[in-house]
Amino acid sequence: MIAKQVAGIIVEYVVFLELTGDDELDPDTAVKMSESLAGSLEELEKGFLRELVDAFPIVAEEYTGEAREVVRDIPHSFYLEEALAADDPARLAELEALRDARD
Amino acid sequence: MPPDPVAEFTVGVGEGLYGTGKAAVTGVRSALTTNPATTVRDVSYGIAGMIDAVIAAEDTPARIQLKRTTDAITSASARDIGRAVGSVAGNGALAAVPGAAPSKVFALHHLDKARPRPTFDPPQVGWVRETVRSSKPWKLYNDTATGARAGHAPALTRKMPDGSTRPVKFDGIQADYVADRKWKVVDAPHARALLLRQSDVLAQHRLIGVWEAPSLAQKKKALKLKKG
Repeated sequence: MIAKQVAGIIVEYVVFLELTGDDELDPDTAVKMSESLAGSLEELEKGFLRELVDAFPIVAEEYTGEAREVVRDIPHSFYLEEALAADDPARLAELEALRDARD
Repeated sequence: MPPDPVAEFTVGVGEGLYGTGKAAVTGVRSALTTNPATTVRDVSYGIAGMIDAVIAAEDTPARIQLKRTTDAITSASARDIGRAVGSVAGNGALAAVPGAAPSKVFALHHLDKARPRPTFDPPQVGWVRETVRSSKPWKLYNDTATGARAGHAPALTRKMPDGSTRPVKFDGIQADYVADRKWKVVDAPHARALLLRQSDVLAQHRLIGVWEAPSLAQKKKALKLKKG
């Protein structure tokens, strides 16, 4: 339950950074803050990070259109599955292949 | 048709020196990905001092001036050469430098049909206030980029298609290189858009941008993002 609440907070932050127009939010600053968030997420205890990653698709349903896509993409954008698989070379290779195929 | 000795001389000297300049630039560019602090600093404005000394030594024969200049150029970047040329004119020694006043040397050799080469203006870098605050490591990492200033970010002005201008911020600057530090690489649309903004503004200013990453893992991600 707490994971879904925290995921919701992160989602609001990410949607703001990703979708706010350049006239309201400096786009370079937005990227810097995203990079900062990426660092913070990567440092989370792995069990809790797993719960967050599982919660993002659920939270995504509360959004529509472009915002929903942004939320669904959070694990991909922030390399969260890679962070969870940091000690699993086979899984990392699999994720890299998935990412290459997607790109 | 016999080769044009003036044109061949101009091209030969220009390309030879640009070759030296390019090698220096390439060496610096690759070094930047591993040790940005030292290498670029060593390749900065050395030739300007050399040119000043040559100007002062007006009694020195032109051939001696050319030799000294060539030696100095060996350790200068191509852009450094262009900048020195742009700031000093009418000196015989500069004739060996691309974009220099070749007519001076050609006059000495009775050659007066030189083709000028383009020179480069110094980079137009602005400094914008950086208001983001954080005690986290990423802020320290970004704030300690080479050429960084406390509380400010170096920015290049990007000309938009509609004629308006917008700043594109970086973290550090040194000579012709601007650096963007990537604490963590993010693979999201706005991060990719940043890449495009940076590429566009760097092209407009004819500068070289470098992404500096704190680890091999982040560097690999950055490379993939740039290729994508």
